[in-house]
Amino acid sequence: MGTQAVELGQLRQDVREFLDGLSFTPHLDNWMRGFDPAVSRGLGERGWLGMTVSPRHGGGGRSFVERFAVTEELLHAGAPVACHWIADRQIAPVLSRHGSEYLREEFLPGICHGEIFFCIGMSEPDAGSDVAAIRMRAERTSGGWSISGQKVWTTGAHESHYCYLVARTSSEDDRRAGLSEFIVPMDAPGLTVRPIEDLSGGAHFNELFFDEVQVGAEYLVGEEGDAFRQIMRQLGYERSGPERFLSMYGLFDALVRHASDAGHSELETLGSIASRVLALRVMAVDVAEAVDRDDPPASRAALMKVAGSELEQEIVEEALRTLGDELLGGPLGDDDARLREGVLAAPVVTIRAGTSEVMREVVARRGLGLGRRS
Amino acid sequence: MSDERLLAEAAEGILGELDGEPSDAWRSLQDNGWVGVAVAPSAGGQGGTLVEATALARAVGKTAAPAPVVEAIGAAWLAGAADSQDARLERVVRGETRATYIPRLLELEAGADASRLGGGPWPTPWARHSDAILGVARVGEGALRLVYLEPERVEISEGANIAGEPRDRVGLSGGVPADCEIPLRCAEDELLATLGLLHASRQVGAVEHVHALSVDYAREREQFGRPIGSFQAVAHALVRQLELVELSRTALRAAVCLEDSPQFVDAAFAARVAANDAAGGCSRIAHQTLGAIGVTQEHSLAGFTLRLAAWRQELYPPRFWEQRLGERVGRAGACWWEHIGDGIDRIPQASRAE
Repeated sequence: MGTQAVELGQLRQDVREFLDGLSFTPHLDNWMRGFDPAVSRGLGERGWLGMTVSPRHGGGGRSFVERFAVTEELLHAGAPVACHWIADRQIAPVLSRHGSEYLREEFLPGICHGEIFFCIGMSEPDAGSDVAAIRMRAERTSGGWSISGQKVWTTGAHESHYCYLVARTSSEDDRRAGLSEFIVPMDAPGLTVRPIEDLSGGAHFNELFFDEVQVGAEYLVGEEGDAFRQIMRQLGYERSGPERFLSMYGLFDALVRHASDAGHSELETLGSIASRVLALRVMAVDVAEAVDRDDPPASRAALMKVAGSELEQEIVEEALRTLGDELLGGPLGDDDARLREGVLAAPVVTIRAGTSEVMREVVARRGLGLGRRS
Repeated sequence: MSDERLLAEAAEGILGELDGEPSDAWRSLQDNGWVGVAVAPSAGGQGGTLVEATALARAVGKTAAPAPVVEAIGAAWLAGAADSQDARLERVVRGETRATYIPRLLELEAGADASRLGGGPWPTPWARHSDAILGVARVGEGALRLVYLEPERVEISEGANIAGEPRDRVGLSGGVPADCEIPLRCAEDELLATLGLLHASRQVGAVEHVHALSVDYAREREQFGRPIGSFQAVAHALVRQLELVELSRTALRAAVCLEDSPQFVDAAFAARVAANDAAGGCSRIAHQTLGAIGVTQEHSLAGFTLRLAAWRQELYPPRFWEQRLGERVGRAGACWWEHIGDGIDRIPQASRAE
């Protein structure tokens, strides 16, 4: 066995032991819904946040493949890791790449320690899949920028210290031009957060209203007007991780436990799902390695996202067919509780971070060279 | 370029030139030294890993060549797995005896003076063009025997699969002579995993080609004044096709890398399941994309999709592999996660750049 395999195996083992020492109730989709700052700080103390960030900024200087091993274990356990998830997944690598030295020093150590949490202000009422339709304005002031407009579906805004957002800094003929990225403190005057209840009755996402929110010039990330390119890279980090096929793993586990008294057709479905879980895990490491080589594979990430998220829905569907009797009522066992979580979480997995339709467009154009018009 | 890639390209060239004469096909396998590639040198072979074997099986899938690549390599591997020094098997491994195998597990029953094989006749690729037909039979609890059958001892009725490839029925009315029963060194799941992976590789080669044909056609064929691939409905179907191709080749690559690992059987079964899924889905989407031209003799597509339909049923149909994998995952229970994770960490990075 190679040294890398031994090290990754040890890393996974260390994460499992850490998780064993915590007391939490595992939930499906817990990287979106499970907020526990103490768990995030604990992960930071062990060097498992900002793993790919340079040690100069408090990071681990490790590879995306090592980060992949850690995130897989956190997702598998259904641990409450939502506080830091976005900061660790995309803000840290984006700041490392595009941020000024000031921003890196200001934010990276806190992200790595599990002390600074971020949300992403991307979607707006009229800009869902179509990022270039963003209307939020950032006007230049004497000392920086004044931001006005609205964001929506902002996951974890109520638990975050900062919002990483995209706003229009100029109007250009090319809709993709004139967008810029900013970091805004969530306690800035003029910023209002309103929770949105989802079908589960919980409120993990929010509406954000910005009324002339003032930020300093130093909080512009990267080049003014060049956000579109930065966003595409950031979405690569957002789409390509194992959370795109492991959010429902707890239900897959329930199906596995059920296998001892399963009939032929249930075993066939279990085998079919297991085959794809295995292949997707390998595909996800491939993507992590491509990121390590600085070769972000937009098309492969999109393909993995669409395949993974649709598999998640299939897992929920199969769990309903196999274990679903208890869904109708009665005392809640663990499997029943998970089944309910799965039903409630399933509709959104093929929407968030890019709908399946948009993912297929990305793959069709970039991966297969099929143009919209010739 | 990797050695594996070089071999695959060379093989595609050589296989692509075969004209359908069975003896030429056999000679090509023998002359190129491909028969014993899955057998370790200590057992008389030229290889000992599945890297070359799966690359060659993939090449025959990609070219739809009229050559018994999977059959010859699989039979040699079985001969190499025998727990016995046997000159007949050594000739199989060296490619001197042209051998095929019956792609299913048989049952060996004790008879009055000789053992008998239950069931039959068994569909067997290339039987009429072979000098030896190998069977694998269960004897009692778990043990496996190799059964060495000479053509003159069996009844062969000629047949063809739906793609016109030689698939003859092999029957054995008499008993199995004692010297034709040879113990095997491997267990049932390992045996199925190795042969299943060869079959999966051939399927992956064909689905890759079917996908390439489909995308090329969608880029070139114009209707309503534009290439049909510019319509989302068509493009998204082709993305679905790519998804199936990627899942199948990723699972295949994982299994080949894990050959000597405890995860091999799971990975190989997963590869066969993924290849079966891809065979069905890719064929359907390809035909839908190519329209009427795809079902003509004029176009090559149907030659591939009919082979995929036939190959998917060979060495057990899809449900068998899904169920076997499901049973294994169920037995591993909660440990399956960790078990597969250990395997994934072990897949070397160099193998990923394809």
